[in-house]
Amino acid sequence: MLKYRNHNSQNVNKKEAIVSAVAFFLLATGITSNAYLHLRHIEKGDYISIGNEKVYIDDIFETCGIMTFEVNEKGVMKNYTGALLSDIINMSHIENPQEHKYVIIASDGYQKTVEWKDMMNGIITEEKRIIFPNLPRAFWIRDVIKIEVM
Amino acid sequence: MRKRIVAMILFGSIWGLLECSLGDYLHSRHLGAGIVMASIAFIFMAYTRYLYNARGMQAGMAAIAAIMRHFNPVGGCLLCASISIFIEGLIFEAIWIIPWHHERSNIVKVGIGAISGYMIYSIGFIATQIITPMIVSKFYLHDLISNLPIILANGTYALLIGAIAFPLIMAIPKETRIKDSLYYAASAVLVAISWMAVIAGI
Repeated sequence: MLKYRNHNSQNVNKKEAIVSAVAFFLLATGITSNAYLHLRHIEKGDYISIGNEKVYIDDIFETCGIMTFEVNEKGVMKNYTGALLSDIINMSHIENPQEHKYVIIASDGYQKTVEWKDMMNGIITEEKRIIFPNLPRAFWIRDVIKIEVM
Repeated sequence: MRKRIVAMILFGSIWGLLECSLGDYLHSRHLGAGIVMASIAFIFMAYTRYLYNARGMQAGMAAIAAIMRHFNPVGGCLLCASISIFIEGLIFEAIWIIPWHHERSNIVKVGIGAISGYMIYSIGFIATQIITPMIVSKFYLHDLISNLPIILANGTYALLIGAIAFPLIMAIPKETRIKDSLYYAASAVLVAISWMAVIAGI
């Protein structure tokens, strides 16, 4: 009986040790990732870097075509107005834009890669939010700082 | 068995309603919708596993909530949210192959709450980062690698919520004194209200 109890207690201790080790490992992963995000500070400004060029938001809205999309949000129609992304790319002197892919990067490092056909439908608002009416919202990126051309 | 199926539909419907209402509200105000909703999902699943002790029930609940989220006529990223909800159910089932709700050790309860919270949030999020682009355009590995630190960092909050929530769930008394007829009637009404609210776009 005593032997059985000792065996049972050893099993509980082993289980506690394994579960605690996994939980601490995940906690350490989370804390390290938070620290990395704080260290990965990305400079913000009133411009967006496209390839090697800095394109200022004011210039974008003066030069590029402006478009408005109407989106149904909780039964309320919401308008998003912004400059066409394809115009911005053309403004940045990218050669053969249809042959490239575009990596859109937010200030927190979140990024999504899209193709030219998506860029032709997308807009950027004055708040530097990119809206793709033809793509799910995982692709709608806030606080965009950079568009890399691949 | 019948009671468990009704409970699965009931809790899945309430979860789906919360995803469509509270989830959208939090998302539109940038209030950490993913973390809050994954934590609520874990609490629902852990509580029902503790109460009904039925494997597979939580995956069923997740499937119902995912269907409701997908067919909600309004709202944010329906596809990503639906995928994420269903994956959360599968992750829970995978972690809970071992019946953790029978554990008496507080260390194990806190640890399993933490592990479940973190894994449900992180893997659910990673799954949407892979599956959503695969469905709508193309999946790029460099996007996932770049977004991984954000996912792993935010998972910390889900871990802490899970670590606190699970021991509290286990402290809830199991005994209920509801008559069967009342149980089924109340469940039917709540399921109907949840579905009508979702279809109406709440």
